[in-house]
Amino acid sequence: MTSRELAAMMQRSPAECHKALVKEYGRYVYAIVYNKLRGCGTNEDMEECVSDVFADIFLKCDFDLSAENDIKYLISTIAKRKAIDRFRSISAKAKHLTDTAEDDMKELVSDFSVDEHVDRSVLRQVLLDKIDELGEPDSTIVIQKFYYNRKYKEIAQSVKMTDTAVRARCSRALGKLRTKLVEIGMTI
Amino acid sequence: MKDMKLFDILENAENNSMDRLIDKCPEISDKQLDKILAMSEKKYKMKKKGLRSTMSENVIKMNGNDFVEGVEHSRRPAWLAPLSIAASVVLVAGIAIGSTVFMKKNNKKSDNDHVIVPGVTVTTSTVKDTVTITTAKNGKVVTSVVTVPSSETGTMAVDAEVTTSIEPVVSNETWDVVDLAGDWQYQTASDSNTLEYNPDTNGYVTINTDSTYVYYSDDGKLVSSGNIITGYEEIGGTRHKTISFYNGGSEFGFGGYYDGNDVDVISLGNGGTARLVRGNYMVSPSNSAFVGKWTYQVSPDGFTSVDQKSSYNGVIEIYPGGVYKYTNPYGDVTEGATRVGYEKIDGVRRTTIDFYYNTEFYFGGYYDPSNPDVITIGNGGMSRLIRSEDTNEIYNGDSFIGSWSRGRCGIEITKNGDKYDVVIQWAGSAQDGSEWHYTCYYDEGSGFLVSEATGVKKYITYSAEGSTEEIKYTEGRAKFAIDDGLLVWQDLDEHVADGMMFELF
Repeated sequence: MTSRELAAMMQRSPAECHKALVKEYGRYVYAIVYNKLRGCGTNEDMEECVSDVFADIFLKCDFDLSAENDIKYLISTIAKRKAIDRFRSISAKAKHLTDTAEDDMKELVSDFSVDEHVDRSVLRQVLLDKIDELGEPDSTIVIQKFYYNRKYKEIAQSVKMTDTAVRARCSRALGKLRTKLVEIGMTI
Repeated sequence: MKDMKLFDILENAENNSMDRLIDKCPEISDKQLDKILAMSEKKYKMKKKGLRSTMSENVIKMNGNDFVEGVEHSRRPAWLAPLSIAASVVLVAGIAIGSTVFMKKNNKKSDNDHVIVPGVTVTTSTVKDTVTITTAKNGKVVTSVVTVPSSETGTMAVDAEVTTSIEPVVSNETWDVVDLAGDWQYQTASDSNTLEYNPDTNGYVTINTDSTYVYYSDDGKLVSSGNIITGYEEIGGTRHKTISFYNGGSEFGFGGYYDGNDVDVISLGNGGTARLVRGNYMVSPSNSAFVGKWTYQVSPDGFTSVDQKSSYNGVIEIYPGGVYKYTNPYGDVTEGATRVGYEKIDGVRRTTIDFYYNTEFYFGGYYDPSNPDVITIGNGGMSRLIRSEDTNEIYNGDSFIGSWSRGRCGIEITKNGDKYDVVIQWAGSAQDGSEWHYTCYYDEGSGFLVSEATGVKKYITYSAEGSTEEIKYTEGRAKFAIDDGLLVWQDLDEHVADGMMFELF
């Protein structure tokens, strides 16, 4: 969807436009937000953040829709920034409510490591490659199960299989993945 | 690595990894999307409302249906609140005590300070709940009579009378009524209105320069006439000019104050209910202050104040008896009469001098006695006259001799018998230039060097082989003047040097 298409839709009906936006990009935004908040936020936090993202997008629609660009990139940027803000907010809240032990003070010294960052990026690529090598629907089942933490029932609906079949395929896919990772020196 | 949950490394993915994760993201149910949409709409409306409020600078108004969410909790030390309260109490108490002390200090009266001297005479008497207040004239004598009757309960059976007399400090000095000469309208306040609002006319008073006056009623009948006596009074620490009109020279008629705030108003009495307002100025001031020679300066460009930049516009000579002679920059002479008078501007009387040519107004200006060497012409600050009465004594024909220059133009003046040779060289570029030759005589009447058809203009070009000359015209006419030490060249043929002033080398 381009900005101009969105503008035309806004002129017809802002409410319908908002609904269409959420339907079109809800999953997209959710995935981005989930990626940032997976380690610290609850489902409610993620829903709050996704709704914040769309609220900002709606505001943006009111003021600037002159470009011909695909608004996907705009939405992606807003989603990432909102998710990072939410991540900081949640982390800050956790830090405020946690008594810092004297022994933990050393951890306050920069927690960012360039080497670790690069390692994680390479590992992420390798892991995704190996998961892709499992083929469909196993790669989707593995990701939804272990990354998105979905229940087998939910995954079954997503891949249009039975719960039992999903559970079996997931088990086999995980075994295959473990083997592939062991071959390159990674363990699950 | 062993302890790390492997799928955790998919968090914070970069773009390409993120795209792959998005592809595999589970579908979001319609119910969940509707919930997100509802939340988004709610937040959107709140943000939009807040944005509008901010843009229109309105205050935020909340009602019972609004709520605040997403507020971060923060913890502050428990002792901070009571400490802040205590500090606030101390601060408020300090301000209150300090203010009280300060006000008390300011209210203290020393023995000598803050004595208010009344400027009026007030007599107050209390008779059976009736109070009578009488105001006498001019503040000559101030008498206060205060009678305190017995109280109804009889506990204060005091009947006292206090009499106080305060004499204003009257000076024997007098001042001249010449400035007041003219016709004045005697105004009194109508009903309960002030003098400013539709006053009644009580007659007319003519004040003469010889300190006499004549007072006619509104229908033209003589009311009184006599002498005017002026003086000063100091009331309440302020010195006032007083003026008293004596009928027949001995009987006091009326009097008042002339404070000069408005040069055309004399306040009668001190109740603010009567005054004289000048209608016409009877006597013109003398023109003796203007006699002499003045240089006429104008703004060179029409918008720069003549105070900042001026160019020469001729000379005006003012003679006793109200006659003037104006010589413009080209030597043309105009003669006529001057008329000196007054003009009231913003309540201030200013001396004016008008120049007439054949009974028609020519131009006029203002004269400020505090700046006696300047006559401001018009109101725009674009022209003025500068006194140069000694010019004739300082400048003569020989005063022009020398080398004068401005920019690329140089003027060489030398004496040749009883004449003066003037050579002007004006460089155009490295290869060309113009040259003028004049033979002039000194005109004592105007103070100019004058060339009558003696000028020759040449255009000269320079090359490696030498120079070539081309005569542009002959019988050229020009005049040269000295204005405030600077040479003015008036080219009467081409006016190439209008507005230029040349400095002596």
